[in-house]
Amino acid sequence: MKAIAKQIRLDMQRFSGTGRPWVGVLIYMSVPCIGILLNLVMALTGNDGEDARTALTGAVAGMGIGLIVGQVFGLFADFNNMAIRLNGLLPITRDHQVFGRYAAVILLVLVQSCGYAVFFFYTTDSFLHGRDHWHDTVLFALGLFLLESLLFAVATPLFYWLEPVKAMIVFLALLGLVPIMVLIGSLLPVDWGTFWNSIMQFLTSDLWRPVLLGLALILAVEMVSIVLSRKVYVRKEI
Amino acid sequence: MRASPPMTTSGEEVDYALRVSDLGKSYVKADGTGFRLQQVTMDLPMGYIMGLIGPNGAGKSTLIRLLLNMTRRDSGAISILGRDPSSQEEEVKADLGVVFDSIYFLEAWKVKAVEPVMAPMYPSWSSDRYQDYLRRFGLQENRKIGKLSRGMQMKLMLAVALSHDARLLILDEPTSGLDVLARDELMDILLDYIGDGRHSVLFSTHITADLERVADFVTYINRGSVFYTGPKDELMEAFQIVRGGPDDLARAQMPHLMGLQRSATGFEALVPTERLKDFLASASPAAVEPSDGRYLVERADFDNIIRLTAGSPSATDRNKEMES
Repeated sequence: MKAIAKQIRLDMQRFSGTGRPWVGVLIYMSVPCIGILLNLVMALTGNDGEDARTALTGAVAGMGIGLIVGQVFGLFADFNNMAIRLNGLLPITRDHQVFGRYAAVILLVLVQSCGYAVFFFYTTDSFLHGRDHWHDTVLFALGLFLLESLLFAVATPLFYWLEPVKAMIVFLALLGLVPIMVLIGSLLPVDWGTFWNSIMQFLTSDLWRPVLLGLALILAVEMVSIVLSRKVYVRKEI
Repeated sequence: MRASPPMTTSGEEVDYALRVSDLGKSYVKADGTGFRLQQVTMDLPMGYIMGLIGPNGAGKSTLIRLLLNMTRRDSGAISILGRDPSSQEEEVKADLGVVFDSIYFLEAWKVKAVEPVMAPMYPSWSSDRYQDYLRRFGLQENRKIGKLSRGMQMKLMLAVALSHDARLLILDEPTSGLDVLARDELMDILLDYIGDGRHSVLFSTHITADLERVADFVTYINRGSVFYTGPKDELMEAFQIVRGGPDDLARAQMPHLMGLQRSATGFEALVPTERLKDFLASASPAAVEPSDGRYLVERADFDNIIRLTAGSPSATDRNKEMES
């Protein structure tokens, strides 16, 4: 456990880029703070401006996507020659490095998802229109957590296996498969709208159902990803 | 030389900082050619400095990477401070300090970012010692690592390696690119470091003057095999350089020499000291005394030994034959 904690700490320092975790904390705290601040300003001015909320929600969502992309690109720095040589001489076994890396990423993604959930809670339409925004907020945070976890679960073994540039190319190629599959799917004689609606209805009729299914999916995907990463990293020549 | 019994951080007593036996590793390089490190055996007793020498591509860095478990060995055994670095990686690395030929910290970091990262890694990290080294080496905490000169980057890695009381320092080409003053300073630090008999150093280098100054032991690797490992002085005394004119080398002398370089003005031969008499006696006509003006004989230095044996694949085999 101690070795895993060391790796988490190291990854947190690396994520901040400058070796100072407060930079990372500032980045992650900015989104919920913007949400709370915006809500406060609107409450004080008596302006429930939906347009402003929508615009800002778009901007923050864009920032979130940028952060996700930035984190994936951050793997470049973590797996470049310098960083990987540092990994090779630190008193942390390769297994612990892998476990620590996944724990650090899950922690970061969780914090980020929670941050966005706070923003969502305070600024979205569901809040304005008096809908069950707790329900929506949980689903939003879960969806974000699921999406980011999936991206990392796919990207991380690639980075353990390949050189950073090759890993990024393969990762982007895999992402490129998604629209292609959508395109192919749209050509099939299936009513996708009804199909997805029925799935969404099943998932969102209760809160516990999507939460349990989502967490189970994340757990399964992460486990497979960890097994693959361990397997390739143990054999990797640093 | 020893002030106290040599012990690891866990308190075990050890006589050898490093023991390697029959180590083997083969792989295919990026250019498609193969490389094989074979039957590497060497011992570094605790409290001494060992130099690792050999021409480029001989296998020095591969050996260091094998010691650090950065690459997997195909065969053989490694014991660092009495432990196997494969099965006890954490314990071994907690007692190791490593300096590579290029910086391993992210270049975007400032110098002051290094300690918060490295200190939690090592139970015996001393912040006071680290700060002392930063001051001694003139490392400014607000400078970005990427902006430091190569010499300063090396000093930063050294400061880290020395601040957790590493029992064995492993340095891969630490002096390449350093000026003579910086090299001298580094050598002084290494000599201080082993002074208590509890610490040891293994360093690879191309600058053999450094080696002659500080090393107690030498391991010379040539084409993936150990040509020599043992006390430095024995290697220095084991070979003689014989120089002569273009027509002064007889065919009968060839079996007695270990390496040969010819030029328009003559030849230069590396001859094992124990075979010098035979070499001279085989000359045509015989020249038993080197002082007769026909041959110039002097003790070989490391550069001569490397230069005259590196090109010859048979030199290593011949050396092994002689040893047996």
